[in-house]
Amino acid sequence: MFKKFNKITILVGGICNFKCEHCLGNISQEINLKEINLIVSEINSYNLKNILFVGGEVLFYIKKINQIMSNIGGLKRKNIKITTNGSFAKDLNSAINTLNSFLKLDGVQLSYDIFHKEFLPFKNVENLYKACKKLKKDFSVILTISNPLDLVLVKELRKIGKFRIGVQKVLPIGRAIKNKVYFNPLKFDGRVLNKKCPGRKEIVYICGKGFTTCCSNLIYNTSIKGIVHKFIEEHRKSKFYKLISSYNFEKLAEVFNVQIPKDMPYLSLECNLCQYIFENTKNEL
Amino acid sequence: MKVNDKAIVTFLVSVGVFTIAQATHYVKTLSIKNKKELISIAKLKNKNIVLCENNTFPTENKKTRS
Repeated sequence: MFKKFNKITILVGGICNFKCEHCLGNISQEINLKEINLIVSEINSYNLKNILFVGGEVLFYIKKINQIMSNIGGLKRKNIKITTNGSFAKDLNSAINTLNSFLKLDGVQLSYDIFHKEFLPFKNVENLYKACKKLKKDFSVILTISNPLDLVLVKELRKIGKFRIGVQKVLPIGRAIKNKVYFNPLKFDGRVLNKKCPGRKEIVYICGKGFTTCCSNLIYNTSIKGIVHKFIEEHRKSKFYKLISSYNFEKLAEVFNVQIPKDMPYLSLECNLCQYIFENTKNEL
Repeated sequence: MKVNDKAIVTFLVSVGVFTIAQATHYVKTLSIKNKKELISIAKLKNKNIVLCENNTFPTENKKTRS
């Protein structure tokens, strides 16, 4: 079992000024004071070095994010990042001012893909990149794809600069199910059975819910109990965490006595397979 | 398989989007226009693309996949 988390992702709230077709949606409006105190205390106890704030859109939560940061011990030594939709970067000055309004910020991950493109002018991407460069902050783009052809945006992005681009596949969660825009692998790939949960080394705090290692299907598509916990240590010692951090999906299916069908291509993605196992077992967590 | 189809398969596998079997199957479904689009990305230098398996970039393996 993995012993120490060194990264936490904090979902601060669900408010967003975009309405992307693939979005999770359905997230509590915002983190409250009790949750802020709890997160701070857990970050300090665990001495978590890497902290990522996500939404919704973080722009609407700067005050709360700063409230968290102002109470974290050794903030200077932490690596603080945000994931944003970049709507604030209407011009270079707006981008710089907004980034400067965070108490500490080391990096920015911009969500830009065919879905965000509908709402975000390309000029904003350029402005945000330039602002990050000027302020010496790490800049990268998270490009979510429902189809490999969505990768054509890489060409557009490369005209701006040489930053990292992280490709993510749209999972069947939230609006992506309704709009049928989730990634379809076409053929089942049995190698997924040898893999483990990709999120097992990181902890996530989901506002209104708690601490977990699952940041996708089980949280948003199921109501299975025992996946989210009030404290990190409680989660780390949970049966759920022990199982998903110790076993690959083949073993997990065996433990839960679930047969994996080989004719369902979408089960080639770890999170979809994990949901299938937990939803089709008669065993309790 | 044509050279361009192979290049697309190699690109999609290197980025981590598909396995070889999936990419080979996928390339057969593409129109000439779509193939051209993907080839143009495959040919880009310094693509610096990483597969993100969860909500962010991998923290422990920052190796560039393509």
